[in-house]
Amino acid sequence: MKAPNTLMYQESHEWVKIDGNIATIGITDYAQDSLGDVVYVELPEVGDETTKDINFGTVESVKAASDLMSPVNGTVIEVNEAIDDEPESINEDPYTHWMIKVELKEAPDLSELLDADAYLRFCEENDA
Amino acid sequence: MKRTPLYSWHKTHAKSLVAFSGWDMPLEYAGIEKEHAHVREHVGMFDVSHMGEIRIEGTHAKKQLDQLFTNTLPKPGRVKYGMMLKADGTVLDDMLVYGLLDEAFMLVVNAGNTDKITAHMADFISPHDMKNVTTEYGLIALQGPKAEEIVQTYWEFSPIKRFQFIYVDYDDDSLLISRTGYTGEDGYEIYVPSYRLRDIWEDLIATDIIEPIGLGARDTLRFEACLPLYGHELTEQTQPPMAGLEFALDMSKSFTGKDALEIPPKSRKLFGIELLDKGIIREGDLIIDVVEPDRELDTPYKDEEDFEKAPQGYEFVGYVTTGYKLKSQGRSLAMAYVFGGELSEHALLIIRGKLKAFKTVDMPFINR
Repeated sequence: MKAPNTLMYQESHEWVKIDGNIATIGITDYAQDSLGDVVYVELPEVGDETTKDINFGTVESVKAASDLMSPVNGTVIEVNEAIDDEPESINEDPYTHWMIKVELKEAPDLSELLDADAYLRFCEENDA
Repeated sequence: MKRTPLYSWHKTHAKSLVAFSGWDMPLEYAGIEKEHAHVREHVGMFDVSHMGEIRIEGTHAKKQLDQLFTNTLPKPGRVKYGMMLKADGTVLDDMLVYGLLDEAFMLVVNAGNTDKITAHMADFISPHDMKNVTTEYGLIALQGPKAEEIVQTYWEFSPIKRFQFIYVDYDDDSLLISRTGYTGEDGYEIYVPSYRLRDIWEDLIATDIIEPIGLGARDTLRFEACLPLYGHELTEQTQPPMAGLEFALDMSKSFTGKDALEIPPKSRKLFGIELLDKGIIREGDLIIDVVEPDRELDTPYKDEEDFEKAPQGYEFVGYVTTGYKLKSQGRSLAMAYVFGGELSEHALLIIRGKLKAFKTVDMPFINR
């Protein structure tokens, strides 16, 4: 199970990378693996607001649909359209294939986010 | 949780297990899409030992079984698909009946309905004439265009047609092999003494062309072939003709529930549907249509409350029983019941709170 050190994670299995006032968000390797073959991703539109802990979209595999939870408050400034055509790219590399970029409203509250080690421990406990 | 004799094999080889009707079963191995394609192109092997087997024997028992089963009872060596119904014509379970002898039969019922069907039959058939033999058998399904070649290589026998079975010797044991299945492919189901299951499974799986298939792909395969699954297309709220199963009714004889059947079905009917907007149709999604005062809405599928929340000018007219988006199809498809059996061009689906356009399509979704 991969979880790069450069990213932050939440227990609902999204990763986030904060760069200045821009947050890039995707799903983790653990998430793609438990979902199985991803066949559809529903994402918001540019200009939509995201709210921390509220879903901003859906990722669907053959067997299940799963909500995408936003780790931050902000406004969507970019959506990765490529995964609309190739949802399976999420299975191939969930860290390259980000889902949305959000312009942050305020400095994000990172206190509830996990670093890579803590996230991997959380996944292990989840499986146990 | 019950386990088949292959549980530890699945635990080692499957990507994940799933609780299904009280059994710990493999959900997927290589992945649902890959497994699905392998069955369509080559041959896949399923452990379906969770299916319930019930043996019935005797003159009186045969007569009673004939009254309970919707289809003609099979002659020895033959298999018949049919159902048992409640007095109101709704489905208790669908099943295969094997004609073992002139007055001996084996019923193969859904795992989740084994106890229900046993109890139902106990009202009519003496316990001496009926035995639940589920744990005596392991059941392997070999499905796909190469299944014929495989079974002929392993157990040479004179060819049998679909819905026929034969016995073959296997060391000191005897295997029952029928040309049946639940994938829309040619294939065989092999009933083996449960203590031999693991030997035979490992022997077969060593063949390069055979891949193990989990319950995930079993469901997508049967869905693509539009074969009904109990608890989804068939329930105690639906009658066989509503699901298009008239072929499994022998209307020339008497059977329980026959007189209550709507033929043709009026109150609800199963449709194939295809999503025109983006997204995936899932079980439980609801269909709405413009309010039509003459439309007779059958018992709501969900809570009454749900049915009052249709958008202004619309009413709920149907519900999805199974839905998938499969690579093999490249489109989001579903089977759905529609009350009154008719839709206007204004009908819409509600998927995760959003209105989506769809059209009806022919079933099955694959041609075989």
